[in-house]
Amino acid sequence: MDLKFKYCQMLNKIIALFLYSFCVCFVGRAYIYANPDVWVKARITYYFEDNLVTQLNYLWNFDDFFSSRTIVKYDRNSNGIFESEELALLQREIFDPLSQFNYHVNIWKEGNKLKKIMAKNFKARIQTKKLVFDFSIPLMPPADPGEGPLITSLFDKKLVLDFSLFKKKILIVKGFMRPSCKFQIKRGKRSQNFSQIVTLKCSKK
Amino acid sequence: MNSLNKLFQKRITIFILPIIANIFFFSLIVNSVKGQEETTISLPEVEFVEEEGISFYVQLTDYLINFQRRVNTEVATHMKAIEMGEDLGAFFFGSAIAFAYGVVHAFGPGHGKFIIVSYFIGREARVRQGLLMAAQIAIVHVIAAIIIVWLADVVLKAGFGIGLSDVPGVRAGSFLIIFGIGLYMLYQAVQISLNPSADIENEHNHGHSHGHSHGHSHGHSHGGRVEGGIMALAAGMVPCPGAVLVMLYAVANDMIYPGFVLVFSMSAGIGLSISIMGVSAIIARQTVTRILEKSGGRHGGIIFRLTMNYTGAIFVILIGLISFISFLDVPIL
Repeated sequence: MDLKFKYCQMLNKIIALFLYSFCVCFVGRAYIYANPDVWVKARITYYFEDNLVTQLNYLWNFDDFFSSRTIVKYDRNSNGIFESEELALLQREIFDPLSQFNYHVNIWKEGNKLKKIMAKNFKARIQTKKLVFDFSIPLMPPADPGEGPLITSLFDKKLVLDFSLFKKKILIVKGFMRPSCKFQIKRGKRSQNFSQIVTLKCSKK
Repeated sequence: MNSLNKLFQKRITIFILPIIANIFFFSLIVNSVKGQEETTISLPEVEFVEEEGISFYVQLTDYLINFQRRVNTEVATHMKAIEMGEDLGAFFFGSAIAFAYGVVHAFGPGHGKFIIVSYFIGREARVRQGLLMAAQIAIVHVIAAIIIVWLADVVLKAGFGIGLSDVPGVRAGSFLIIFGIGLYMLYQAVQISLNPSADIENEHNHGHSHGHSHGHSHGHSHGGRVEGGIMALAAGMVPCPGAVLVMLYAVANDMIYPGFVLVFSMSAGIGLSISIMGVSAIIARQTVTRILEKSGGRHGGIIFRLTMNYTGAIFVILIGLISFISFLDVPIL
């Protein structure tokens, strides 16, 4: 009888701990993802020169809400075009601060992740009432996808911005790319902080 | 005459042929240079690969993200439909979509979930208190979004411009209030741990009197309500950036009424998610306490309560402090 009572006591404690851990873990895990406020559709253009990738160009299409807020703020004369002054302000206040997050661009060249990413040729425009960003990331020295894969992923670790690649014309290649080069997009890596990982692999020359 | 003609033809040939040759030569050069400048543009074939061994949690997260991505577009579409005076269907469907968006959106970081959970882990509370606080947070969320957008609108019209991060006082204030409540919870936890039996007796009497004397319960729970109200204010006063963007969009496109309706629906959805979290924490604490008391006697229950009092207080302090430190450190888009 005593043994049975002790057994029940232990079982109850285990159930209690399990219940409590479940609640805490569930609440804790729910915190992690699924909360972006700005939605971006992106396209990547690969620039090839002598079989090397010299730069990547990114096109970002923003959602209605963020577009509207930004257009109202920066297209001051409401003519649907960002004039040079407006563009400079937009770049200074919205785009340049993203440099501290590497513009949410993650690049692995021949197995090594690029630590500092510099963007160039920033342009912004209004296209059918939506905000569009266009910028380039030069690869210096250029990447040789024959020597190792060139991997890239757009991901905001703070989850303010959500990136998804376009459904059509996802990737564009400018310049000559060897027929042996292949692009691959992996899904479902969000748990490891990167999503829609684009891998470019070429066979050795 | 004939000889003159022939001479003329000869001269023309002599003059014109080199000119034609030169034109041909230059056009070749230009074309070759042009060819060098033109780069081939192609759309490469892309192979899509599904990651192997994706956990249920990752799949769920992806589903939630995709759902929000689609709904985000739908909200804009329905806002336009409501403004254009389309049938009641647009109104209800738009509201339902915004509500669902709020429910899912609130499962992400922010929106006061961690605060409410930590608070109720560290407090002996009833389910209705959790529901009340969630409703308060949701209402404060809406009001904060409207006030900030109203301010933004006023300032925008004045020609200066304001961003979501341009209201630092609100964020800093919120984090400091949360930190302050955490300290107060810690102070209470220390006081209770100095005399745990008296507190438990007090709680038992308090719980008993709830069933029998309504007037008495008002007197006792008043302090809790004020504290809960301040907590709800602190957690909700930083508006959801998503709701602010929807409201800004409404203002920019002169759709104030549908904007208000959809932001309200969205906040109700956020409130529901928060209340699920808060009530889960309350029920978890109540259940575990009850089970421990039944199995291990009062001693186990007291230890658990005291531990949770400290845990909740420390969590609330950390949330306030870490948020405030990161607020000072990192600018937000």
